[in-house]
Amino acid sequence: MISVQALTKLYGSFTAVESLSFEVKPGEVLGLVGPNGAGKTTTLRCLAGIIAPSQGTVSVAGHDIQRAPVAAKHALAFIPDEPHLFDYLTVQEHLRFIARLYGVRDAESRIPPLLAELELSEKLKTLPGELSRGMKQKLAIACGLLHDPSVLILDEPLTGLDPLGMRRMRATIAARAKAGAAVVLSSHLLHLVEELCSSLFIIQRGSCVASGTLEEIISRRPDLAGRSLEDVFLALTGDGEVPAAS
Amino acid sequence: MTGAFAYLIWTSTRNRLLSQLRKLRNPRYAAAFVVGIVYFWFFFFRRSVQGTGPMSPLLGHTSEILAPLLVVLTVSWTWLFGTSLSALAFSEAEVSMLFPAPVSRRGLVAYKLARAQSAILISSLIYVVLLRRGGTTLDGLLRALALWTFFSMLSLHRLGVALIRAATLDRRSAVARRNWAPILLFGAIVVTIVGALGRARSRFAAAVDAPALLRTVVDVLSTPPASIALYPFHAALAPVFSQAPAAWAIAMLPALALLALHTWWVLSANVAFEEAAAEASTAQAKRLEAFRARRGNRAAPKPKSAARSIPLGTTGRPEVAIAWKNALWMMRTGHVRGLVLPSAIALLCAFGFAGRAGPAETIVAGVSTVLAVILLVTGPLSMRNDLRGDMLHLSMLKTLPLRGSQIVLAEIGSSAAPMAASQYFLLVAAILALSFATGVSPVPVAARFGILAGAPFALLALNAAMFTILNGTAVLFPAWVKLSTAGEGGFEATGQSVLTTAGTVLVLVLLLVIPGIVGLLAFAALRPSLGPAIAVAGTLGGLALLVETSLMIRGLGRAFERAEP
Repeated sequence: MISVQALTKLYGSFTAVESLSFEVKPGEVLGLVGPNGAGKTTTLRCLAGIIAPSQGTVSVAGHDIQRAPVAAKHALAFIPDEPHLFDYLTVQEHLRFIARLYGVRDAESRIPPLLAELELSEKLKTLPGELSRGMKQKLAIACGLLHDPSVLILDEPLTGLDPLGMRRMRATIAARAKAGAAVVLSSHLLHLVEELCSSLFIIQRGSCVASGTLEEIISRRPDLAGRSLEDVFLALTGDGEVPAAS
Repeated sequence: MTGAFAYLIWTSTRNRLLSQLRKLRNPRYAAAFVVGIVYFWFFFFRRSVQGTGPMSPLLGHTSEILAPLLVVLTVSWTWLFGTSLSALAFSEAEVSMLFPAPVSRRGLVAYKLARAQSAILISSLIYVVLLRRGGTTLDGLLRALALWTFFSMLSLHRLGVALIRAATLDRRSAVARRNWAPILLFGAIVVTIVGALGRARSRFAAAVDAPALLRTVVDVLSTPPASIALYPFHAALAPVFSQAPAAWAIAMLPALALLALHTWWVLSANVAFEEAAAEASTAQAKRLEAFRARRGNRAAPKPKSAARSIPLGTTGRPEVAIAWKNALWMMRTGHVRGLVLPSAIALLCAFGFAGRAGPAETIVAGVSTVLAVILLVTGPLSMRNDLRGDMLHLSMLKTLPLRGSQIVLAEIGSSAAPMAASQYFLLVAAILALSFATGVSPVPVAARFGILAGAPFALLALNAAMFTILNGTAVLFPAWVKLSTAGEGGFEATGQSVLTTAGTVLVLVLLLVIPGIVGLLAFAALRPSLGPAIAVAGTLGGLALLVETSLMIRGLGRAFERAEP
């Protein structure tokens, strides 16, 4: 569903990400983790077609994101950590806008339950300027989910959500994956990654330092046996030393 | 604490200057800087340095008498009716770091005063340049000192007023109970001046022209009791208008005394201003954001209400959604009213004056035509509900399942079409007014029909071309747009503005060459029939321009697909 081959992104002489390759099959949730500045957001933006790779290819639902961007983007939803909303469209109008862009024929029946799920039913006529940070994030999530994407790309999706919102979002991600969506999730909340992701892709300074399931990663580092994801992450992205057990 | 404040001011100023200088290593900034320097030299400094020509009228006797009146009106308005606390505004960083710090209120006020000095010094230098234009005998440095004294006093006064106003928010403060005194004082000054001007109304009535009227005003203000009421303001400004060093030295004494008095007043006011200052700081941050938004080619106005909407089907051509979004922007930011009202009023006037003798209909026709032309030139600059606003949402737009050219076309079309419609209806009003006018019309009937038939394509094409060029700047040269969003002024910002304006005009002229030739050839071929000639020339010229514009839009679409946030 998502296939990344030798993805490299350069900014002048600076290499943001270098030769990343991975695949996410339908029903899988890939956790993209790494320290600040590792290249996670750059990778996600390349996957979503926001920026073009300098080298390598990204395929979404069988379509090359550069050669057939419209077909690829029809299949995906990108939910960024900072919601980008139009100041002059209400909650309901945002969803209608997205419905038209993606040609969602049954939007009228999809919108009410989606709004109820995200606790936005009372805010139909509200402009983004009147919404809290968390509500804006929920609206961005609703816009992403409306067209029932087969590929979900999530960058820190829980930012700004309240505890109930976080729980519902976790359930939503799991449900979408169970329904066959391929999900790439980037987050610093390692317990979320541990809970939701079927495999991990750990990057540091733009390069992959480990990938696979947590068990596979630990099998390659026997000294990390029995440790939590947080310990594994710190060991792989720190100075190489195994931290004291958390 | 003084040392910490001095360190903050010094390092901030130094780092800002160094940052500006480092930017000059970038060819884009360097070019903009050079163009800005040339621009300022040509329009402001050249004659000042050369010292040629007569003395600036700004330094004449009339200005010397009227300037204090202007200051009185401004200051009195602030005291009597003003509600702004903007003089108390600190930056957001200052509020979050200095307010919780162990700093006295007096210390914060002193810091605020010191911080204002950079703006005061720059203002003083600018006015020295402006006032020296044409040459005077007083040295520039002395006039700069006079200006610095005046602007410092004005800054202190604004801060003092804001402190008093903040005190009124805190009713327990003793300062609040003293608030009536300055209000009474400034009220008395205004009443005295207005009374003096009122008593001279027969002299004003006798004035035969504007210069005579101005001479009467100056005469009234130069004699008691108005001159007495104006004395403190005249004393504050007198050194600025001095023509010789000796007169300047004498005038500086009372001005410096007033400055000292203001300093004592402001520093001795122990007012709990923190809450009011924090509110003012937030308001200032919002204004700054809006200002940067306007300069940065972003959609500045915020929607106030979403009471009305426009229906949108969830299926159909997807780019319609973008046009719909932009239509809602127009509706909710008052732009629809701005486009509809002029043509509606023009049409009403054209019908209203129908059949009446006199020049009314000719005036309606003239004003409508001029408005249409003004809208053609300024409309695309002011209505930014296109990529100039939406480039902020580039990350979001690039995830949409649309080709770049679809997005660009929808963005440009949704701006150009309503703008062209508004201009067309103004032209219709002009033609109707001419048709309803009595007497001989300067535009033959056939030509009027020709204009009505040819204008739609011509206007649509012209507007589309203008919007495409302006959107092209946002897509192809986003860095130039970012230069403005940084909120920095100076030579490079002016240079950037000059270069982009020149570039826009050049591209438009080049674009108009082929459509112009097409239109002229069509007009020449059909010349014997004036109406059809104008109609066909306008339509064919417009079509040629639309073809060129559509090619540009395709190119811009590809550029949009390559653009990265």
